[in-house]
Amino acid sequence: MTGEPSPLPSASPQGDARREAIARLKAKIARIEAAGATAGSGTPAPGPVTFGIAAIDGHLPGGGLATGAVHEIIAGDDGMAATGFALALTSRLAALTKRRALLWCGQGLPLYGPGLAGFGLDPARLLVARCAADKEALWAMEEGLAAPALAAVLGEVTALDGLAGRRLALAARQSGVTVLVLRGVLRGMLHGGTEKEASTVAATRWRVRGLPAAAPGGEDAGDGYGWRLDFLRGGGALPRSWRVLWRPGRAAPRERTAGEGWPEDHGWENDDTGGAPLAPPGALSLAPPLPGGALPEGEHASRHAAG
Amino acid sequence: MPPGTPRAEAARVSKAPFAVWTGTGSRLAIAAATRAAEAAGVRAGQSLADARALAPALRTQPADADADTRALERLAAWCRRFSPWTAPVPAEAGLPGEAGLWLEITGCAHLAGGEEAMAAAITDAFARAGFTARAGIAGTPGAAHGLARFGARFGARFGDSNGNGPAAIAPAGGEAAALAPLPVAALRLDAGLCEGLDALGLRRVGDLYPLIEGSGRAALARRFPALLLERIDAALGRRFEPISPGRERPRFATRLTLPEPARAETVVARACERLVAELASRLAAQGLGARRFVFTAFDAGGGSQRVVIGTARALAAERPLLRLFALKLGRIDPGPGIDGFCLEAFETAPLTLRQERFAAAPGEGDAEADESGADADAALAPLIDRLHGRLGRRRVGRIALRPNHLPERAAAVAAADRAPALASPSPGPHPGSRPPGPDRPVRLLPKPERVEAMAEVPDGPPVWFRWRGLRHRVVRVLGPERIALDWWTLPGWQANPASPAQPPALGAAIRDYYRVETEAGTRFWIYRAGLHRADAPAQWFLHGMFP
Repeated sequence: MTGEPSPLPSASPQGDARREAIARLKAKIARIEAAGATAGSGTPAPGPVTFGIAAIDGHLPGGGLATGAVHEIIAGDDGMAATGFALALTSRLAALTKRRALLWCGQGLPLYGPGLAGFGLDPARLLVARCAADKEALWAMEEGLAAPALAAVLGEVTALDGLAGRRLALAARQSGVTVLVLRGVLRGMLHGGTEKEASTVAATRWRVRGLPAAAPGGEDAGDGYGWRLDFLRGGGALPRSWRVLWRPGRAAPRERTAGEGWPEDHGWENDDTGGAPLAPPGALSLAPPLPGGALPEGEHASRHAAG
Repeated sequence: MPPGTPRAEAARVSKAPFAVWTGTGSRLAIAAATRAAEAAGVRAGQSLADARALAPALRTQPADADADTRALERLAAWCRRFSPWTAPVPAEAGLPGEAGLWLEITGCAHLAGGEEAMAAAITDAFARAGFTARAGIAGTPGAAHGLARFGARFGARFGDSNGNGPAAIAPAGGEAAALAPLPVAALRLDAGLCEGLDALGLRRVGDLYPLIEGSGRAALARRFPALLLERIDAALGRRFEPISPGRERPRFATRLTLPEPARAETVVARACERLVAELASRLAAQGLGARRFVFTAFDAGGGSQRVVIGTARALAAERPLLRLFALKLGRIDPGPGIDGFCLEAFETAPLTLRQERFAAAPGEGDAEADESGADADAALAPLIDRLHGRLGRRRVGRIALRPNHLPERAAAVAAADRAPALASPSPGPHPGSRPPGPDRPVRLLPKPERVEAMAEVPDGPPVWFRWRGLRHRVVRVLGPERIALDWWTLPGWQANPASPAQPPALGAAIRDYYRVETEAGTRFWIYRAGLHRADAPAQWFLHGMFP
């Protein structure tokens, strides 16, 4: 054997055995990870949270956003549209998981309680943790994942670096609580968040920007908010953009059945859980793209260089 | 009780002759001197020049009364290792005797093996920390005070003449007899009063006893300030004299004394574990929990360090407490060595026991029904505690909606553990208040920010505005929504409520809010302050942002 070149692994029985062993170990690791994901806190993560819009849900791998995972939302402008998008997701998460508390951690301007009602969230169940640095915010987010009562953890950080993000992703998977990481909120009207490629821990990454709710000359959008959603990456799906409209106080038609659902008008209705009054959660709808080529349907999100 | 703390503090610094001086104008006198300095002939009250002549090597410093007070308070905190109820007794100007400490040891002495053993343990601990201390134990603070300072020198049965003997202990009810041979200064009387008594031949406390009954008492009251009788009565227990502890007294406390000072951080953690386990079981046995826990580490040098944790709900369980302490125990610096620990529980309240979900499979209960408010409270409490532990109470809050029209007052961030419980019944709508709805922004600036704006018509919405240096063109407007301010809180009105001034014109106390959408797709909440006036330009403010 001394003079011979070492054989390729596939060409020898030893190599086959090694490959088998590796495959066996991989399967074992996958089993352990799968078990860990469900056995962590005893609450298996329920199915993905959907947008209620076939075009988006169909595009996302798994038919929606995975719960018990980290999703990164980058502010495309001053971050308010990104905040709204995160709150809209939270309200759908709350409906899905039957948990309604929300933890917000960050350094900037905290959420304004009465404004949550437009998303069907109970302001009394918003826990605000004002942090002095990213490190604290990440710590608080991880602590929040240990609390089973939370519908979602909403964290505002400037960067989601590798190790902290990985810890967060692991903790999210174990607890089943979904983490929405907002980046670049109120950084400045011009820049919005910058997309750094460093973090790969997020299951999906989005960039959200405000759009005029009504197309010029179109129907009146009323209370609605227009957003442009750029799906940047996640699960191997192609980047894509949509223009959506959030209409507060309108239940998603698909989710309503006869005799149940949210009251149509904002009243001081007490739900049977004894909480504060709830407004209808509202719904997302897909809006036609703006004329003039502002956002052609199916446009692939351009990869934003920094700046 | 340590004699004058400046001297004692200095003794810790150096064995060399050292003294602190005090004085006004040209006369500078020695306030206190170390033992080495005293050996050289330096005495308190000497002029600084004389002292320097006697001891050329004498190092001196001006006395710092504030630092003395602080040092005494620190020692009082340190003495909580012996008793939970301690108070500093500052050396008052004009009073003979020195600064001291009061320890209420009722119910504590048996822990050390009796009063004598306790006094010995206390003076030993002070000696190790570098202080000279004398102890006196009596049934009243006044008698203990006198015995500690004069008992050793004048009482026949106490100690040697150096004042370093065993403690002067008055048996229960024997305060009068124990005080009788002491000079009247033992009653905490100032020098002038002592001289006045001396002129009448009243030199010892016992001389006063015949005079405090019957007609003598009236004569004494006529001739001397009321303080004299007050102090006698207090010392003899005829009058109650409370000791005010610097801090709240706990209902539950456990302590642990190490045989010798330890410096390892693991010792701190282990001690905390033991004390938490003991306290938790004692609390639980009574069905109580506590909301504040104070863990104190006493070092051998007369210092103490505290770690405080607060919890959202009364707690008596060991594991969550240890988790909370684990976040903060690192702040304790073992320094020269720690030889005592103490854990105290405050704000005790009955534990509310909750029925766990009966035989619920993991996750099943959660998925079946929306959680109730009580469940949510219980589930959030541990999270709130941990956030408090690291971020502090002020930075963790829950939103409390208030029946107020003013946006900045409609919601307040309340300390998370003080916010109304979710389980508590909803108070219902305030008459005239409006429900929170989608017409409120998701972020509100803490203070409305002035913007430069241009409106098409004087009392109409703006067509563009400039905020933080950026110009926004408005493409869509919702509103206005008129919100009237509480005019009675406006500055002009509030500043002089007594004057018969008219309330400010109603027009000044309104805001017309518009929800505007800009060309770029951002949405803001801006308002014009006051009604349109022909003589003044409209003032516009930006108050919040919509998603």
